[in-house]
Amino acid sequence: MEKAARETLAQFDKGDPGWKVRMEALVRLVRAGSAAVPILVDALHKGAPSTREFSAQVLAAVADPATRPALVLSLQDPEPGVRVHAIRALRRLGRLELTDHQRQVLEKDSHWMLRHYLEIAVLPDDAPNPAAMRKTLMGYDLTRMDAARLGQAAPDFSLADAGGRTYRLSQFRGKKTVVLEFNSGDG
Amino acid sequence: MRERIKQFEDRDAQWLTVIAQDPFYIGGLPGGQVPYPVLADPAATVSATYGVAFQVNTAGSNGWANRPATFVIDREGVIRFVADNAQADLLVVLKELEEERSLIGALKAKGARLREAAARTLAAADRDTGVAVTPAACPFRPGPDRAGGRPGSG
Repeated sequence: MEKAARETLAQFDKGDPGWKVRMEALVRLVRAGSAAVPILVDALHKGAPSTREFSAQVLAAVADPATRPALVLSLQDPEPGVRVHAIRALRRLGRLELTDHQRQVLEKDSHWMLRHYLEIAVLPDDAPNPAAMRKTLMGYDLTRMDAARLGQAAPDFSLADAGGRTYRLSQFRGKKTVVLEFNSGDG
Repeated sequence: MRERIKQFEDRDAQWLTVIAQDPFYIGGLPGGQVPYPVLADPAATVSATYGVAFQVNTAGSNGWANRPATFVIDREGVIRFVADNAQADLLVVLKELEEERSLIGALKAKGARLREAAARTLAAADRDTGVAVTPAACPFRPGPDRAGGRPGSG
């Protein structure tokens, strides 16, 4: 298991291997569960830039409270991608508590996404649900990646809005045309 | 945007936005309430299924998606259009789908009228000749395998 986790992470040592490799690696490492956590924390601090970024991304999905100190340390990582995933991971553990100094440093961060995340990360807790997200990732059928094709049936899904109201694509079948937009969420 | 959404609603289309983010991130987005559902895809699995990846683009400013994408899905649940940038042509696509629907509706109605007329003619022929025209002998006679078929599917 540990060997497999290390091999999965090694795919990132020479840079970003592309989103499909990333997604598959993410699902596998989340499935590996707590056994992979020490390896991820190690890679988070000692890995190549893109390995550190990916490790932070996986730790954001794992959302293990024991990784909090390691993630706080990574808020000072020279790579913006690592910092963004680290703050995301910390937010998943609940409301982000920072010292004044930490906060001042992050407010001046060069990456807009980190500044935006910082704004919402310190808001009163509205119950992050990492368990549900982990379950979704662990159960994700990797053969469904990139399955949407023009002229074919749209893959069904069920997702909730910020207010918790669930929408299923198939609920509109026979009733309405759906315009489905995927958006990066940067406003 | 509000104006645009109204135009989509006028075409009887449902707008859905999916963001590969946590629900609390969406709740904190600038601009507050929008007049359409914004759905959270925190595990980015739906985005992955639709081939829209999620990565921090630290070099640029386009955030998490590796490509923005908008899909138009018709009432039968089929993907009819994929846009990889702004939504400029979407209203045209919706208009075309609407026209297609009304055309299919008209064809179906016409088919039904023709079948009724054929049935009446055959019944009249049966009466006049005293010989029943069987479906095998007459391919135009409505049979269980032909009635209600989708135009263009046979």
